[in-house]
Amino acid sequence: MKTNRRDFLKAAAGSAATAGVLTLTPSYAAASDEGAPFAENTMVKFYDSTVCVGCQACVVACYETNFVNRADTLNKPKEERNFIENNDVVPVLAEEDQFDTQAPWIRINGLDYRLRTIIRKYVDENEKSHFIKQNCMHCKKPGCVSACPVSALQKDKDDGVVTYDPNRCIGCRYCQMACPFNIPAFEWHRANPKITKCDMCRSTINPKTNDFDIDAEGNAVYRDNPNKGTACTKVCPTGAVLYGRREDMLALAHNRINKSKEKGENKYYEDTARGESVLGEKVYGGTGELVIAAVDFRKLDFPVDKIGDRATAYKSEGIQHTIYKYGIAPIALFTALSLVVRKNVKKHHEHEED
Amino acid sequence: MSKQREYAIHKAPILTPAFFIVLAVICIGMAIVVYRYFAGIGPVSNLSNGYPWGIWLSYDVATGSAIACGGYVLAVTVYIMNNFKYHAMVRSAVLASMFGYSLAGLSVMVDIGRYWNSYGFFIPSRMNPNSALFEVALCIMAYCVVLILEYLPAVFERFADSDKSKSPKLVEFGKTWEKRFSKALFVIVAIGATLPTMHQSSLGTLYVLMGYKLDPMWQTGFLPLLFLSNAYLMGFSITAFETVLSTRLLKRPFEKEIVDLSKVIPFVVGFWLIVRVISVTLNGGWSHAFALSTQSIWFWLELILVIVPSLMILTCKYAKSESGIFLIGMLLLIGGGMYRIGVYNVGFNPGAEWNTYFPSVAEFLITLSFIAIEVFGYMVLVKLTPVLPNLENHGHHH
Ligand code: SF4
Ligand code: SF4
Ligand code: SF4
Repeated sequence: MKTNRRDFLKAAAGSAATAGVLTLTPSYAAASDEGAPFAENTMVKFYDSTVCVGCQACVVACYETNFVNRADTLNKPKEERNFIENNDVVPVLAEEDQFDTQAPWIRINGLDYRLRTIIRKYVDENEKSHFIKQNCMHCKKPGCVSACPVSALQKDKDDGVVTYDPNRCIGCRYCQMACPFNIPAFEWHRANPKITKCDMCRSTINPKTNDFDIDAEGNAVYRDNPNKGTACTKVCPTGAVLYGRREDMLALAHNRINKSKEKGENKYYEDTARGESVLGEKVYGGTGELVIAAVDFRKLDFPVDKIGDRATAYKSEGIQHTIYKYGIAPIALFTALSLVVRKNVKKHHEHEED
Repeated sequence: MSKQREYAIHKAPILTPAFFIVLAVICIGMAIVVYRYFAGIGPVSNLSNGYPWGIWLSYDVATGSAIACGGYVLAVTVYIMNNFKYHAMVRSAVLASMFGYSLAGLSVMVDIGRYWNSYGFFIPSRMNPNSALFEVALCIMAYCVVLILEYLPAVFERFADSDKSKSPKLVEFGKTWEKRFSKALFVIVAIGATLPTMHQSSLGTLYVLMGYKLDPMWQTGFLPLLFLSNAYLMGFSITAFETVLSTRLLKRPFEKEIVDLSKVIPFVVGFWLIVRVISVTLNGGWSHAFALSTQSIWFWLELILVIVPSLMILTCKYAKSESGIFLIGMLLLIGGGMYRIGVYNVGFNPGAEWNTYFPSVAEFLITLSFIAIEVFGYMVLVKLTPVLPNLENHGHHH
């Protein structure tokens, strides 16, 4: 019996050593893209809260495009998918959706399955209103993508857009659990529930392409068809939300902050403690949505201190990769265990036969 | 087969009053499940976009699979640590584990919204090895199969020992397969010891991704290690608890081996406790632990309920008696289970926008019916196949 214990310890030590070696292999560190810059053509939305008047045209446009006109749009070839602004559209909600008598975009208390974006209002001490556009942040290292067991959520390698494929989704809701901004919404009342989340209109009027110019406002305008793009940015009357390359948008944001400082207005809030003037520069390892505002981001419901500047996926994937890289550790463990079990069973039988 | 069989069929009627009570609980739960498939998850649960995971995952999957770790820890104890004196207890533990794990899998099918897409787990282009949930799902499915394989020898034995004059073919079939399985046993056992090591730790890794949404009293990179050691704790405790339970309910003599087996529990708890204290310290969780809240009360209860019974095993004589083992097993199961629910539900807080999650009556009833199916299946199968230790062997240990 003693020899067998020793065998077991040897086997256990062997598999522990394997695991240890795996932890220390530099390839594991290299496999993580932590610290790498954003992809060059990362496309983002840039929202300037001080320019937003809270009209919610973006919310309506998003709703029209991605819910009401969705089926029509999807029937057209990709090149002909336009954003149609139609002020007569009355959102036709399926009967089961009508549990709120107000029109859906009036809701300001949270995202749900009916909307991919909402405008929320924060009233400060001086009774002044501040708005914030809430939607998916298209994070650099999205928790939702790391979570999704069946790759229904994916981050585009070129432009960083995080897309959702209902034909893959199993409805496990791990993406909701993992998202630090609580963005994905689930259709709780349906027998075939889907996840609702901004995909930069990728599935409707914004097919992937990099062929665009930047107009005077800073918006990306596609050369082949100026009506393509993201519905919310196209419709915004004040240019509070823009769509373009992350690099350009970040420069634009800093430019506005600096100009305001030069003029002595100082109208933008800067998170000096964390060293983040443009929200999305640092938080959660960087996001594909940039925000500048007059008030503390925390008051606009971004718990930046809690979220921190590192995406949690780096840590959890690090653990997963350490244990499971190429399946070495599990296979080593299994091999060691089967040798021990075989030996023990044999001994036991011999012992019984005596 | 001149030798005494190690396991025997428990000879008792199947259609007892308990049988019908359990059956009724199952029917109520299943009726709600049918309703859920037509109406969606919302109408039957208190889940929300802020709190999307409820007791179907925290209890049925995370805790239920840990309670079903009896088969795992006994396999490790007997076949790997070479303690064959506990061999007679293996089969009933395996049977209980088989039900525990299959029902964890089944309740996932109630919980996920788009179950018809689950085949995606087997499509290479869809697999996401970065996701702990992917690993957990595949591993649990595989382990269910392994548990069935570990149980099958009982069925073959049943065939082999049936009346030869009535069904000679069945007897022949049983004998052949019994032999085949005993040759492959070591592979099955080794897989059966590898898989839970993997998915029980991954059940903890799942929550590392939640970041700040999990309270610092629970959030830590050590979650996989804590869940794995907790699985051992739960496995030993359920084995102790079940032993006494079957003594009482099935009116069988007390299996004294369990007293020896329980002595390992304080060491498992000790290990878990050290890692737990280190991780709470590293994450600055103590300030939360000393503030009065539901979470902090839960946190302390969790600790007390595993520490007290461990101390009892170490110091007091009562712990060696039948009722002592029963009490200790029960306290440990509650404490160990509370840790898992602490991570999955109680310690989870997405922000102030949503009403805190508390399961609905329908959620409870569905969970209850899954537990009932386990009990039901166990009660029936111990009376149909040789699973429990053969009483004629009692006191005879080689
Ligand atoms: S904000 Fe949430 S849903 Fe959007 S990419 Fe980031 S983690 Fe995913
Ligand atoms: S709910 Fe769907 S999209 Fe979200 S993690 Fe699960 S499978 Fe992926
Ligand atoms: S980018 Fe498209 S999907 Fe996203 S919020 Fe704007 S309109 Fe909606």
